[in-house]
Amino acid sequence: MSRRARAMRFIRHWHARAGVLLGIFFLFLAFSGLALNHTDSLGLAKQPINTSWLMRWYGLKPTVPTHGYLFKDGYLASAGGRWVMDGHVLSETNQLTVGAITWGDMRAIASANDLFLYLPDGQLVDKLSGAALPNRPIKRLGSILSSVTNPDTKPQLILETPQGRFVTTDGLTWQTWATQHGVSVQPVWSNEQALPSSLSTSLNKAFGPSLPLERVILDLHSGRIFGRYGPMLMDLAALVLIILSVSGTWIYLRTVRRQSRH
Amino acid sequence: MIKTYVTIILLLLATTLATSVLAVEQYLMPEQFLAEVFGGNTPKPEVLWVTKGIAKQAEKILGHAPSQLRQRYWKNGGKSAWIFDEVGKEEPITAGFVVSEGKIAQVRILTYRESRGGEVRYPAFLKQYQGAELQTDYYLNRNIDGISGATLSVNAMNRMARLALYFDQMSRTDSH
Repeated sequence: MSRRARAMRFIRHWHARAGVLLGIFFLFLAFSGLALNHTDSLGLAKQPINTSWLMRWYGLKPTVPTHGYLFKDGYLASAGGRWVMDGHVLSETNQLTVGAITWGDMRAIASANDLFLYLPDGQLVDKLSGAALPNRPIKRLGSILSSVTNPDTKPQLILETPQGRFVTTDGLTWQTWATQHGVSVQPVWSNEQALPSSLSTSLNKAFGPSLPLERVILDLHSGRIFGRYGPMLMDLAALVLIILSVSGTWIYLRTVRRQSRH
Repeated sequence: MIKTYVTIILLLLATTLATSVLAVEQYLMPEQFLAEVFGGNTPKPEVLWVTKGIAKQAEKILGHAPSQLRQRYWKNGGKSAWIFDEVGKEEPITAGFVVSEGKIAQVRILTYRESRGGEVRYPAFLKQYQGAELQTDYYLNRNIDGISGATLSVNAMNRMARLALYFDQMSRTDSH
């Protein structure tokens, strides 16, 4: 057997084996690359992954708050930019709460610049900000009990701001509180309290760490999920792919040349 | 030499700050928009409750469920004003719409937060909506010419324009 034929045989032999052995690996790279190319249309950034072993692998631990706001039949807790009401992660996050209170059949939650009205099931009724509020920043949120004002009417919501206290019955129009009620009626202000231990299961679940699916696929694709040597492994795979492309082309050209001679 | 370094550092800082400021551009406060629409005499806000039926149609228009159950709007002298937030690509665009006799009378961009596509704020683009009506299939009765590189922002504007017309219809049904 000539030297060239031996080389050809060697290349064919290892080209086929490397192709079969790393085929699944290449398919994975190709599919994950395709997914990342269409991350917006597939909504990968919006799909959270919270599998516990994966979160442990990433070294992420739950940040469970110990304090929050208690309603008659529920709670609001916030930590790490996440607001959780009775186990529901609310859509509006990333703001620090300054108060939360039951207001009629709704729950009012205030941050310094916004007032959110939610139904107990976590549906947002309205978000008041800017000119929809009488003043900002909101320092405290409270209510004036209907039994004090008028037992037949809905309790009034009261905001304390640096410019004074303002009340509303509908969240649309606001009045200065002091001129309306004098000083004898005292509002009930919402205060942060220690959350009872009975909520720990619900809180652990709601505040468990999560990552967007896009991040996980990106780390798998780049190899970073396997630690510091992961990217090197992917580099090695890329090198093998380059070698396979070259050897494949070489095998093809040799075969074509041989066929043309015959 | 030190002066040159200080100048370069200051220039870099200014560029960074300018870039971060440009990320959110507020062209008009909601209260300014309303004052402009109602000639400085802004009426009290009214409320449209987004009931299940309304939410279902709004979802068809927006491509997602409406974000809140209570939509505030302002109405006076036969025209209603609506302010919506709708995501173009990644960030919400805040826009104000004025509807009169079932037709769009005025559109303004109040806040633009996307990094690209801010051309939708130009009057040349926005005037295309003037006189647009809602067809029975809940699409606009006219074609709105797009802007290269701002397709998603234009789409968001179209969805908000349709929603303003639909909510205006519903508010009139609601009040009669």
